[in-house]
Amino acid sequence: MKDLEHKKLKQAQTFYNQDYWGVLLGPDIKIYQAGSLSSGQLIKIYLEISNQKIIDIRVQVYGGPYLIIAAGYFCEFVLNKNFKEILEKFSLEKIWADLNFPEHKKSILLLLEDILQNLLST
Amino acid sequence: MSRLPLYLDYAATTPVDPRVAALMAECLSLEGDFGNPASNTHVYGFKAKTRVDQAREQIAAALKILDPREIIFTSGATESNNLALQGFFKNYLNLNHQNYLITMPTEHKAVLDPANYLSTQGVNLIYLKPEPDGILNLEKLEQALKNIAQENQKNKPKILVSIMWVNNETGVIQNILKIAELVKSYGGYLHVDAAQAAGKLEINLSQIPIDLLSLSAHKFYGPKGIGALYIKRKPKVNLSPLIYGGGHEMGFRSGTLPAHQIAGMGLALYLSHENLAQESDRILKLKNKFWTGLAQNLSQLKINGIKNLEDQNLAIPNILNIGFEGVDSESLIMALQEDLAVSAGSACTSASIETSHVLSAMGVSDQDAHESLRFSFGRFVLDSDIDRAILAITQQVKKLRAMSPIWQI
Repeated sequence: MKDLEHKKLKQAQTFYNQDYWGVLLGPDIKIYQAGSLSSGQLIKIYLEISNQKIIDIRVQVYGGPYLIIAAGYFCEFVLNKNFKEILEKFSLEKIWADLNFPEHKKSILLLLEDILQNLLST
Repeated sequence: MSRLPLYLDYAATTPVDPRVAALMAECLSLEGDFGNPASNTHVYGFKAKTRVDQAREQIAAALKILDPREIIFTSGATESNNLALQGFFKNYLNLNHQNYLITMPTEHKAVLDPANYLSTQGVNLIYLKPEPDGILNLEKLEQALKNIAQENQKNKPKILVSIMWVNNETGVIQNILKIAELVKSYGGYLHVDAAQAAGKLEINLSQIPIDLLSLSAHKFYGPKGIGALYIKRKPKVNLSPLIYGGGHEMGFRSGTLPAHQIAGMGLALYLSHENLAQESDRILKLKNKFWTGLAQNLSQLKINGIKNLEDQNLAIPNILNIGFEGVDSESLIMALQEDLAVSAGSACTSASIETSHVLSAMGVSDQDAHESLRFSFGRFVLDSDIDRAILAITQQVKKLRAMSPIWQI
């Protein structure tokens, strides 16, 4: 029960946390996008990368609150990590467990996986 | 605990008026009128029956019905709609004529779901799409009735038309008088879901030829779990019951009558009609102030439904459905959670995001539907509350637009 309350609180905190909202500008900024307007879910991530390490991140989201929460969680997760660490630690199951989304919102996590795959393949 | 969010979801339900709650309390405990209205052997039963009779008379008076026996108590508008639709066709299935149910895709699920069920039982189901503003084009209705008449010249068909008076998502008002006259001219029957109309509009059943009309108490400051169905007696509408077990309510709906809820419903409707015109004007002013304030602060807003808010013949004063371009309505609801209690014009019920069936039927795009919110005002909303709502919405829409990748496009 306490664990569930903690996860709900984490969801709310991530939704209201605006630390990562916005854009990064500059020639070296990498931009990754997933989802589409027609699906009602679009996420755009701006990354500043140095020596394969993510040193700054911003996100823009069009979609429901679960997408905003997932985007915030993703930013928090990858910031100040190098690609190797991200590859080792990122798993949809872990995010699923951490965020405690309802079953029908699980597809949102696939958008994060898309972004990550694009990022790591560059 | 911080202060509660401002309630702007009066179309979903209303708080019980304190006067109604006090009356209901008088019908619950030993020292009150707690008896079973069907117990005709003692004073407890007589007293409870008096409460029920009084409420039936109050409702009849509010709807301008001469015979209160035309009011049948149910558990709410969903049951009333089911009784009206299923109870009507139960008599006519498997007979040597065609059955037709004409309705609109913008109806409440409490009509659409029984309508779909009836279509599996052999009833021909015809949907009339509304105009982009949500209004039913009467020519479409007339054409549908004409087609039925032409196709069934030998065996007279049974036709039931079911149209809601006021739409629960957009507040659009249908021209029920004209619809009723048209339906009657083709020998059909008319059912009206008046859940959002009762207590907010004048309903004069002595002047409008409606055969069946559904009510729900909790939409007009009465308790949940109680509603009514008006069933016309002259000329009589043949209706079969859906619930058997004692023959209560003139045989249309068995089950012990909840005298406390019925008494509450009667008083609630009486109170709503006491100063209906003044309250409508007051709420219209609140809605206008709300819209004007938002439109001054924010660009790219759309009204879903009737754009002219002043037109009280077409738009109910207490409901306003607004599209906020570039902002997902679910996210806006969550962002507003501490300040306002509102609901979306769309609901996400499955893996694929499901848009509002009402807005979709009006031709609103999926994206626009996902950006729409319904605001509904009521008795306990004050002028100062509107200032608070405008401020909160302006702030949160600006925040969400700032983080939206499509807002800059």
